[in-house]
Amino acid sequence: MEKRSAAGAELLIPMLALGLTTYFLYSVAGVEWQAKANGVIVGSLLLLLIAVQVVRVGMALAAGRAERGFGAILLPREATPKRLGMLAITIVFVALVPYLGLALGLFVALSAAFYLMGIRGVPRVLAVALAVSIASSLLFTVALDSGLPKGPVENLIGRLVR
Amino acid sequence: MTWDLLGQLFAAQFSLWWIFWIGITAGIVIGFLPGFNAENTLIMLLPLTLAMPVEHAFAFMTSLYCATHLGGGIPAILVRIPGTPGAAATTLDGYPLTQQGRGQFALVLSFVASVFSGLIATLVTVAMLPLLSTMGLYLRSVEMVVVMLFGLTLIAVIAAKDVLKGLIAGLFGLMIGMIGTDHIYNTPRATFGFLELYDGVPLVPALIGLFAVGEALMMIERRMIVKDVSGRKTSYDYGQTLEALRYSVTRWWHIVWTGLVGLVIGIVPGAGASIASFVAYQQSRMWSKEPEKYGTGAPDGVIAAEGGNNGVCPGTLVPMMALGVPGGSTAAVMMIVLQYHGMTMGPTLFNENPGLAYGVFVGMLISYLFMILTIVPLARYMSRIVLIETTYLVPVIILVTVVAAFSERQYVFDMGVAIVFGLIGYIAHKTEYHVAAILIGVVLGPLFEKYLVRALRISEGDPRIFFSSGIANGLWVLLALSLLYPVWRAWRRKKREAR
Repeated sequence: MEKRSAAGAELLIPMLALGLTTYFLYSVAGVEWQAKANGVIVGSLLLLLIAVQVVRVGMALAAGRAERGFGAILLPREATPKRLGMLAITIVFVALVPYLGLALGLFVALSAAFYLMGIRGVPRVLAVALAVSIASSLLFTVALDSGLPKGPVENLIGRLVR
Repeated sequence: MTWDLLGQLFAAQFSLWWIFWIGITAGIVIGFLPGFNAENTLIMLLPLTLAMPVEHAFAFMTSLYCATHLGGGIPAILVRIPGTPGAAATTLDGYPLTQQGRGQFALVLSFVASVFSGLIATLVTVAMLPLLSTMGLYLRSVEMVVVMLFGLTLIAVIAAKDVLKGLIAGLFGLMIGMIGTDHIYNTPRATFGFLELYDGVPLVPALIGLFAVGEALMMIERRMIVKDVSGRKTSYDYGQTLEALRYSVTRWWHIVWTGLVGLVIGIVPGAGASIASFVAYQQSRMWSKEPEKYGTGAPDGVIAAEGGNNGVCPGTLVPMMALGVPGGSTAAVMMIVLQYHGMTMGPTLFNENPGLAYGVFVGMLISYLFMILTIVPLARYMSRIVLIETTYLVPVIILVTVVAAFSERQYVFDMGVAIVFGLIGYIAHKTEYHVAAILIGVVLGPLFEKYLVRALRISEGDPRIFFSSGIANGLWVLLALSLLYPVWRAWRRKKREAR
């Protein structure tokens, strides 16, 4: 049996592209032609192709070759909570890293993420998270001096070293 | 340059072997890490290189620079994370090979292609330096528009399965690439009010998001990266290394010409490895007898991408040494070191200080030789990363690469950019909208616009400028030929089958 595509999923990227193109064209209204020439050409072409895709998906829906909903995006179902959880952990990590610093922030985020992914046994989760966060801190902060935010751990070590 | 001088230079450079080892090791690690590159590392190490004798400093800088180009391909092949933007094209066939359990084969192919394309490009540079140094003057914005089109046509090629989706993805990437201020008036365009986007969408966080985060979100539904793990115990001996070495020998010409593509593009100031690798990949696919295999784990795809990526290295130094114009940001840092030591760049350098001028390229040759000896035996162990379960890999990939996204510009904002692009990458993966097409747009879009607008500004808006030079017209003919040849070949094949 032929696999039916999901109309919502098929239109996600075109809708993102439509949003960006519309905003781009709005933002360049009234500026010099050199600043918008390329964007207007590419944007117009993109809008045309999006329209064709919308019609194509609409026809597939009407003919029963597609279904409503987001299909593959949310499949397999058992992976969706993990995906959303990983995204949530990453967003919280990015929000807190300026306050916690790399070492502590990464350790907490990795511990939560390993647990979410199904690794069980507190010592194992903490040991792997600790090893990865120490290695990352040494690499990014000590070896490469990448300017990552410093937190309580980095400040404490800094004071001890001094 | 005499043979005597060449011999002396080889002897002198070999005596610095320990500096080459340090530079190569550091370069491979730096190249492996997304967000770090030779430029920011050399800036960081500037106090050290300024304090060294100039020959030592150059041995260190060139070996580190070349090794970063090689190192960037390792994560691109193993976990679909290009360590440097120049390695983005390597993911197209490298990662599918890893998924097939042939990661070691892909790694060795990439190492051999990287090293030998770099060697060939360096040899050609040494032999033809006076001629090459003037080449950059003839490849101006008009010609570069056509060179960019070589890379951009890859979007249409990638879109072969579903042209509409591929083109939407590619044009979406081009629109993303246009975010930021324009190249002439600095007018902000589609920046969503973020000052951090005035310089455009940062490339490294976008790469990390589209590939690393997007792919890691996909990995969650699998236990391991390798699709079939049944034969994993036997497939991680040196067998794949030997197979890749044998295959590389049979494809020597492929390595040579993709390296030369990289060299020519590298000579043009402002152009770089990301353009070279996509152009080399596109040309390789166009002229291949089995173009349909590209993107599914074609060994020639890995060779082409890495050949183009590494052929750039000697090329970027040519305009700096011969004309005093740095061909890229890394060359600019090297120029600071040379000037600090009282060296004047330009044509006189080769008469006044031939030992240093040619020594740089001889040093590059030696660092490539050391590189292949160091890295090939390690491929077997590196490829074992795919045997780690995704329950461990996914959190590490997502969180550590998001940290790496910070490193290039040191904005927490860029970590957010990586997450946003991760979502776009995931959706594109799941709905088959060709992440690679989006990436090509993001990488080449801003450069294409820069050259296009510059050319049109010179001609006061007259598009005939694109056909105003012999070189540009020659490139147009080549572009048309490379687009028409596969069509003609497919037509001929169909006709033969019909008989």
